[in-house]
Amino acid sequence: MTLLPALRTAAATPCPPTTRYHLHAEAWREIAAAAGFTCEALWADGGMVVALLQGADGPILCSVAVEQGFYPALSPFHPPAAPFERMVRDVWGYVAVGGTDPRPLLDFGHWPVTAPLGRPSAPYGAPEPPESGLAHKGTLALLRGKSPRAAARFAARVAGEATVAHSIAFARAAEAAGRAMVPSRAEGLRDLMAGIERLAAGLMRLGAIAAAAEAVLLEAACARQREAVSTAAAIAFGHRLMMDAVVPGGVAADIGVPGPEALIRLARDLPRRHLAELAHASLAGRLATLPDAARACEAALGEALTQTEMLVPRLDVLMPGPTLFALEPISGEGLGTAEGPDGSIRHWLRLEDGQIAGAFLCDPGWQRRPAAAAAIAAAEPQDRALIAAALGVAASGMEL
Amino acid sequence: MNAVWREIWRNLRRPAAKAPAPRRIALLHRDCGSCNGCEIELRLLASAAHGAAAQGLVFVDTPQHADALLVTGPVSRNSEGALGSAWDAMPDPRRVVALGDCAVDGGVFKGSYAVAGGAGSVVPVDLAIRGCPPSPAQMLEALAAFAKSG
Repeated sequence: MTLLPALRTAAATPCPPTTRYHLHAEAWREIAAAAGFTCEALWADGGMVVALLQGADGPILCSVAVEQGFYPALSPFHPPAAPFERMVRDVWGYVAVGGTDPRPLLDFGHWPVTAPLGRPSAPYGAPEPPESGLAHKGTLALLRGKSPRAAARFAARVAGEATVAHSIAFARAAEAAGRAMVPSRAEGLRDLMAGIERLAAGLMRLGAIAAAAEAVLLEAACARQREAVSTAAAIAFGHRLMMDAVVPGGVAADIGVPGPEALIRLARDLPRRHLAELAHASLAGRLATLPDAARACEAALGEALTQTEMLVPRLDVLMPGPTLFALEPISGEGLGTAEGPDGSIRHWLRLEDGQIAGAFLCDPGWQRRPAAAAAIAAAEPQDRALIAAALGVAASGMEL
Repeated sequence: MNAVWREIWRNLRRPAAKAPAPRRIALLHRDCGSCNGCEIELRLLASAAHGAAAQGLVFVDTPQHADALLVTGPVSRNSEGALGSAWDAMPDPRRVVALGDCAVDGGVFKGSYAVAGGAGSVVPVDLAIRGCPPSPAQMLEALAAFAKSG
């Protein structure tokens, strides 16, 4: 990769599997305006603002020092950065100079503090009715000072529909930061669980579309199959959504003895052809004039069918051996990625002596929610519920 | 497809049940900052897969039609106002169910600057259903008994 001059001359520190570049404000502006990067995420950490940029050769991290509470905005060059800048202002109190959207995202004056992760102070002004942030739970603050093992339960509760994927991204970030290995059996079990989760998510999305389109037989079929998936997941991994089953260093427990048989039976009994025929027969007419919803519907059906077919191959490649390694309490930072039901999930962690000193957990909702909101607003009124179901983005993932 | 029609036909021909109809309860769900885990299971309960309607559970959209408020999530500070408004708009007698560990007492988010700490911090709770999340079967059992008790 031919590095831009601004990156070549910058101080760089490792953030496996990538690099973090520490930029001066001038170089930060240069990178912001440079072509070839998209902004995937933005957060703050210890007097710095960090951007996760996606380039042609993969992701890089860039950071810039916050000067007296201010830093140069990315949003004029990268519109997806705008909601992140609003979040950074609400949670850390750092203001993006030249930012395109000054509205609050999470803090409407209802918390007992302002800037809880920056310099907390008493709130000023009267609370306003929140326009967003109903699902903000203060997750990033709860992670601080805990070991990755102890903090994993918060990562598992960022977004219930992607609890396994978030747990995997979190575990990988902790393992990258702690330079730790993962047993290959645990990697295989993670793939298996992520696939079951995506199967359930495909059925859930298809069922939601069916409900919005009043296709009752399809809705009932999706619900029945989703119940079968959750039941099999509980037999195999002790929890219907497999919450807390993935932990930093591996997995919390090996697959249960009756697990493989339950999953083989699930893959065999899920009526793939019937589901596909029923979906097409029930929805083709209703979705004929709604290309976005039709695409989302095909994707959900395809995901359910593909992940069903992958169940047995994933069981077959499971290696024998241990399922959990210990993490050394060391210092460092790392980036973890996992494919969730709605796209790539990225978690970043900075550890100090094995404890979390800085963190950001990025859900695909940051990218998808603004796009979904625009599509819903542009749709005909009678189609809005259906578009919302097809593009469905739950709030919790991005509101943390 | 044929199997579905056969099932419908069988049900149509079945003689009316002698047992008294279950006492119905109209439930209004309010998400107060949930991770969506409880919603995933609640939607499954409300679907045809669990026979919630046969147990007398009816899901409604407006506070004016509700007998009980079903709260999920740790009650984020940002959602306190909306929860209070829903409760204020419900006619008497009205009851509250805290669904899931978060709504029971804040769950893992207890102590965060951004959460009030469970439904009980805003409205008087009559029934707590634990679990993270509780399964549809657990919800059904607890809510059916709750409907009968009212």
